[in-house]
Amino acid sequence: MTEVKNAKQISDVVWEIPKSYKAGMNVPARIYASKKLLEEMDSGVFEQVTNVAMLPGIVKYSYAMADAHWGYGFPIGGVAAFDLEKGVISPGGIGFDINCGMRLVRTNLRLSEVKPKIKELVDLLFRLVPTGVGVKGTVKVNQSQFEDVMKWGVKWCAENDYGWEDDVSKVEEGGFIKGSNPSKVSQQASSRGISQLGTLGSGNHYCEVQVVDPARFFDVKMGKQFGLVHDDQVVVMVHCGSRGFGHQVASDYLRVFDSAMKKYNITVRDRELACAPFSSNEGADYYGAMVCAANMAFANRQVIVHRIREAFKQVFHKDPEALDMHIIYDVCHNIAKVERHKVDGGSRDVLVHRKGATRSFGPGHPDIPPAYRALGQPVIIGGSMETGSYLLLGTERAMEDTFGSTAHGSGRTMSRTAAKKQVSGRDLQQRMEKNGIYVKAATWEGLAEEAGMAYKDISEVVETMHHAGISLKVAALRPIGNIKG
Amino acid sequence: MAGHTFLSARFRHGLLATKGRRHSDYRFLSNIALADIAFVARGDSLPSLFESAARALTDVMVDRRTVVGRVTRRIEIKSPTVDRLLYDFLTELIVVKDVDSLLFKDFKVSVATGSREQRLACEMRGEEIDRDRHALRNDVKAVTMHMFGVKKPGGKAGRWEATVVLDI
Repeated sequence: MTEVKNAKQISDVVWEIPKSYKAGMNVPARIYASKKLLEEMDSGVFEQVTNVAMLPGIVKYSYAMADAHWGYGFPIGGVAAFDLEKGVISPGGIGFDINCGMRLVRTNLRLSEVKPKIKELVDLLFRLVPTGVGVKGTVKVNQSQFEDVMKWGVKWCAENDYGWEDDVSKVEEGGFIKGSNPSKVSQQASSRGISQLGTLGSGNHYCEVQVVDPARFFDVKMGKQFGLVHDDQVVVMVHCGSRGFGHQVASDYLRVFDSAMKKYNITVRDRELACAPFSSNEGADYYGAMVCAANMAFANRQVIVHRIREAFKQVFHKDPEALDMHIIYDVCHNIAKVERHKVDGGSRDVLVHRKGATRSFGPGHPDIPPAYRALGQPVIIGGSMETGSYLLLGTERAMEDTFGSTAHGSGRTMSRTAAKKQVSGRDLQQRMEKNGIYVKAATWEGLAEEAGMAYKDISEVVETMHHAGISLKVAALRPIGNIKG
Repeated sequence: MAGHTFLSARFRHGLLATKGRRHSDYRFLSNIALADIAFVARGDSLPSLFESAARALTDVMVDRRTVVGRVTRRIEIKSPTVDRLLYDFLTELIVVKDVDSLLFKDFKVSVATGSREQRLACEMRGEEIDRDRHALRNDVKAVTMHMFGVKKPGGKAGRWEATVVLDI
């Protein structure tokens, strides 16, 4: 913990590493963490958050959120904003899984109605939502249609019968980010992604049936605004991203930037921090391709939700409309976007990188859907499949302090190999079933790797961000059924 | 050297054939990347190193013992450096897994090194993913640049070694 000895305590949960910590830092680093989380944080976070502070054109601070852990180049849980002219764009600040994110869908069903049918429901979800290695989706599109997906995201889905009209407005950025440029996407990337719409993938991705935890329904009034009217109401959460498409866009441009840095005379401390000026041709090309992947990820989650609605219809013999299966919200947590923020007493556009961090815009922001604008943006925090997740609310404080950003999940503390040594997939499934969670996974090994003990305490993460005023607690969501790749 | 006719004369001086290979292997590293999987691959020659790395990558995705070699696929890759050649080779295997749903059980690699360009040809045997028969493991998203590199730590007489961290 020698690294944090240099940190100045700003508040109970905010720590600052000064520019003097490391030669070449352009801004200080700020870490959001309770004392407990700070002590448990791996030292890679301090190294990486200060490396990011050295990148050209970074504005205000390099941030690590309460769930931060070591990542490639940027820490996961990292936030950094860059000047549009003097600053850079970095694939390492976004992650390989471009627009990996969370989506929350409500139902009007209560626990007592779903519990008796949970096995039937989860087994059907497992059949309808392809999961695991190399799976293909059921949506068949040609190259031209796939380019429309890259441009229009959820809007394309709604127009092609994979969603409802009001789905579009309940997704960050209205379901598609402007500025896509399919001509900057490689053929390899398109080939990888074209058959993957509606697939979950593997690793920590999941589709989970959850129930509002009556003991931890923190803000009932606010929950009502999002359609959570019962304290044992059933919701469905989806965690996944842009699949092989986004992974290939990231891999392609990591190679481009690895070479371009010489041209722009940029040196970085870690090859995974490869970057290029946002205003350069390479920067613009990557941004255009990255937005294509982000929009594909929105569409991917949309097709999955379409299948989830089908599954509920089959199991509960009611139309999804009658089950009130509206999207509560959909958030990106691996993304870079041009946003207007307060900087040095003024307001200007900056390029905000969020890698394992969630947008948390406060009340009144024009980018929040009209239905929620007066309240603040819903923030979805995904936990491990054993410990549950949270619905939070964005704040004005986040706009002031963190470029409107908060944490994204619980963050791993144990390697996949170590997790597998501690528990077998079969034992874990039985343990979870005893605890009221029915899980179906593509592989036993993959299941064991995602055991709850391999993750940080999500409640501590959520409490820290709540205490900092960056995102406020609305409801804790307890898993009752889960499919994972 | 049937199957490697693409190699022009200017590369032949650096040709590293698959013949005479003594040994190749890999080892997973458990605490390099918490959320992901890292390995060190080794080989007596560049081709055997690349084959070890390909086996390691595939073993992350599937138990290769459950894969039957009923389909043969050949790939050719050109890259500016040996590092990049390995990066591009492993990335291509991930692409083939997603695009054609193919996983492979064995790999025969040849490498030709040059001053400006490195070339690889690989013949692989495997089959389409079969969820019922294959013991599938993790889907690999990408090869990262973290710690990535090909080296020969023991000097000229030593074995080739590559460290690879995969994003899961």
